[in-house]
Amino acid sequence: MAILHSYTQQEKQLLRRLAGSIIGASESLDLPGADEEDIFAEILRRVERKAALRQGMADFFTEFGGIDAVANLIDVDFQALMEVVQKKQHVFLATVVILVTQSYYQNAQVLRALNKHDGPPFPRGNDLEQGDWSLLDPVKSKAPMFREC
Amino acid sequence: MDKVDVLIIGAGASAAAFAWSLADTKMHIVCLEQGDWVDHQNYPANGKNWATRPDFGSDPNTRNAPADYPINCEDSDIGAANFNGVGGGTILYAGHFPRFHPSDFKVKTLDGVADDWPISYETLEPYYEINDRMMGVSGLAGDPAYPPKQPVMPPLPLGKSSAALAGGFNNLGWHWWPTDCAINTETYEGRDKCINVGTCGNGCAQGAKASVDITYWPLAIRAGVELRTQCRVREITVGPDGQATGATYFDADGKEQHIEASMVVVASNGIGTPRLLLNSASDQFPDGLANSSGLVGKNLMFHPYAAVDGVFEQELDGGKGPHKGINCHEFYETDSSRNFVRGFSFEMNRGYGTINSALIGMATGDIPWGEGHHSAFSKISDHVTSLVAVCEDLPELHNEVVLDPNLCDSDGIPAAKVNYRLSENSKQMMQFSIDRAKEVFKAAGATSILRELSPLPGGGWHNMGTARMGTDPATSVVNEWGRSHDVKNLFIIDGSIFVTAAGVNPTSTIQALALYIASSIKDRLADGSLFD
Repeated sequence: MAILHSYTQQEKQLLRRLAGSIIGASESLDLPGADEEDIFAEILRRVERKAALRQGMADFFTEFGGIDAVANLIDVDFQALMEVVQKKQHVFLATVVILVTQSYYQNAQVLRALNKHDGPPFPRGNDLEQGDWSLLDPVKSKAPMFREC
Repeated sequence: MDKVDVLIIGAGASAAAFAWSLADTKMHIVCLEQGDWVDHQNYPANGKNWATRPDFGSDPNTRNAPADYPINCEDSDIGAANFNGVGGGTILYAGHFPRFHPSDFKVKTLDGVADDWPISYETLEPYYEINDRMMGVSGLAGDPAYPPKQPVMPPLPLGKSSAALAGGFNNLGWHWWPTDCAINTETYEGRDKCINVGTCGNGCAQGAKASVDITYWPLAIRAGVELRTQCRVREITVGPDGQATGATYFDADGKEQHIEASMVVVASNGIGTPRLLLNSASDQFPDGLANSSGLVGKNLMFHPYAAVDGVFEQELDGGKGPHKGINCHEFYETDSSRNFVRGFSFEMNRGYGTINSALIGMATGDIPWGEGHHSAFSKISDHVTSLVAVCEDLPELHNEVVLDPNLCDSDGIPAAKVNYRLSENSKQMMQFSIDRAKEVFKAAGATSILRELSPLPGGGWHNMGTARMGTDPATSVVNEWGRSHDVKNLFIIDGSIFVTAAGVNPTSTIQALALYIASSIKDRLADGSLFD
């Protein structure tokens, strides 16, 4: 049984806004954002299982002047915040981005909207076309290339 | 007290082939494996979270399963990769199954570097053929890069990705060929054909990929070989005469046991084998077992990988289908006009699944966070394919496996530490390969290059050279048929005994060597010269 590392309501709200800022919704593509309820629940489940993230988040808030300051930056100038974070390669946010992406692109609603299969790949499998084997004709006419020895 | 004729340590690619071959002697053969059988119903492809399962990753340090032992790679340019369990690395490998070239066994003679092997391509050729049949190799005869050989079933489909790259190779006039793969393209020996699940690297739930837990091992066990799992060997023991007497190991309950054996065969891979030999130091062998040459653990070779991802306008295969499709051996042999010796092969990596496409695109900055994310994602997902250069590493004494002074596994056995630095030759070769890969993508009509990597940081799947074979006991650990120079009833049969690394994946050659050594042992059992 994995140990869960709990977060305060305020921290969860901020994580959710962060997720939605990383991958937002698209009405035209019928895609939810990463802050959609089910997707965020999966993100939170993954975040809570990563022990190092708890302290990483605290360090992150400290670095940017506390949780309220970070929340304000997300609202006011998200891109500026992201640029700073990306330059610093902050481990906390880098990990959150991975977990957000994994959760988002594993979500059934997202996969269906992207016209991708939303279940396990086995036993369904996939079709793979044979392709044009005549492409090999010029190679077949090559002289042996290996060195005799 | 257990007493057996033959003790094999490790149950991966080489051990399985060796055990199957030696089983016809009717000797009492026992194999000890630190891991367990893998339940194919537990492979990631059976679940919706298949792309994010850490328990089937290739890094033992992050996987950290009970069967794993830590490998300290802090001082290595390439991180080690493996799988511990019945089947070993074949559980996670892509099934890429090329043979070495004839020239790979004669690099000193041909190119003046490293050393020649004490055996030749012709020595191994009959064993390559047996192994191809046992594993079930798909491919196409007539490859001009190789002496004639006959795969046992038709090649994998080209798919859209291979076809796109093939056009590029053709436009440049370069070699390419469908890859030999240990993946069924038709029902073979009771195993079904590939249905393009696309999860070769996390285990094949279909059973179409030839991992040795479903090829050699069932046959070896039916022939009488006993395979004991969750048994981790601490050391090989020796008697007063300096011969191996067996091994001390921890069983599934963590209880220390000893097994006596007339012959000990080590098959624990290029990191695990030197670790075990070094952990088997004794008063008689203070520098480690079979190490009078001082070469146990030395000359570690990986395959430094250089990878380039290209983006195409048209839709490609993405993560659908076997990872491999075609290869290119245009730059395999030494060319004196280049700034490096030896060469490399290109292997195609078909493409990426949805999650990896997004992660890579976000890491490179091609898929932004926030505004524009979805539009950018759609241009990358299922539109990327890769060329990976498998570069030949050369043996260097300073690249080594040693015992870590502090780190131990869960049974308290000292762990391995890898000290490895890329040579200038490898760096030049990787850069050359990246430049050539970009040429291919351009000639194939790719719209952009998404990413280039050299080396792949966690790409240490192929661990070779750490107990090299040779005829001179001063410069090698085992002789030309795998027997230790120092301990005449001790054999090593895995990639440790490679003299050089070649520029292709090693599993086919590892298994051909194991079959050749088993055959050599049987010949000498018959004429009474085995321990002379």
